[in-house]
Formats: sequence, C-alpha cells, structure tokens
Amino acid sequence: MVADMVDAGSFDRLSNRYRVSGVPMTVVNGKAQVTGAVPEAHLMRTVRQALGA
Amino acid sequence: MPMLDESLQKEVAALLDQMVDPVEILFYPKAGDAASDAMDELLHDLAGLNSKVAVKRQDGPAPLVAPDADDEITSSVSVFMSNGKPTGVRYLGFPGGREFGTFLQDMVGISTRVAPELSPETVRFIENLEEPLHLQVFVTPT
Repeated sequence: MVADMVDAGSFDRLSNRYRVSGVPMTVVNGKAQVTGAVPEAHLMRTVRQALGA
Repeated sequence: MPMLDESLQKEVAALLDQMVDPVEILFYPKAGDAASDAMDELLHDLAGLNSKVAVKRQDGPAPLVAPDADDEITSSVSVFMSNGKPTGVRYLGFPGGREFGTFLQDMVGISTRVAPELSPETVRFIENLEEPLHLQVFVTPT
C-alpha cells in the first residue's frame, strides 16, 4: 500500500489526468476518485469501488 | 540562506522534539524544477534541526508506483522510511502553506508510531488487503 500526498501545482500532468478541480481530491489506483475531506466510510466506499471489492 | 526563518525554525524544532524513532527521507530531486530545489533546501533545514531526521539524496528517478507514468513525475518525490524500510508514505512536490504542517505531522506520526484513528472494519480491510492499493491525495498550498 502506498499513500501519496501530491502537490497538484508541481504535478500538473498527473493533476490533468484526473482533472483535479478541487482539493483535497483522493484517487484510488487511478480508477476511482472522491473530492473533499470526506468521512472515512465514504472514502472506503471509493477504495472498495476501485478494487472491485 | 535557510528556507525557514529563525522564528519558524524554533517552532519546527519544538515539534520535531516529539520524535522518538529516526525517520529517513529518500529524496528524489527533479533537475530544473524550482519546487524540487525548494524541497531540497527545506529537507536540508529539517535535517539540521533534529538529528532524528535523515535525508538521503538519490541520483536516479523515484521508483514508479502504478498507474503513474514516467512523464507525470514532474517534480521531486520524498519517500518516508523507518528502520530502513519504506513506510508507504510519500510526498510528491513541495509542502507549501498549510501542507507544511501536515508534512511535519506525518513525519512525527511515523516516528512515534501513532496508530491512525480508523474504524476496526477499515483496519481489518487493510490488514487483509492482498492487491496493491495506491492512494493519491491531491492538495494545493493554502
């Protein structure tokens, strides 16, 4: 498991790929994403969605 | 000239005093990138404030973590290590503004092995994880 904090301004290509428009935005395995400081349960739904779990 | 002024150095030093175990940061700079140069200076300052912070500058590019592509790594990558092993926590770019506090808290948290505040269900899920999981939290300096 790898957890990155990404400075969106310095990583513009990565930010463009995921169309980052608001922060914080969390991307999981490049497949699912959620914007905002969401509650843990919401984030875990996104993680499960990305993993197909 | 240091990246942190004298007053900020005192504040940061007080925070880093909470560290217990050493934390090593593998720093992968990006040539020609201003944010990477700033991060280089910042890490140098932090290592000077507390002997438990060690920075190792790396020559090659940072190992890619899927699904990132080579040409998407446009600035520096800092990899947090503990006891010679990767912790799984990385910082891509420069932690400006409020993100600096988060960066320092991450470092102290790794050093003190503070357990994250997660539900037992989430902890179980992570413990039983068998496939790679890559979380990327995009932030901007505020």
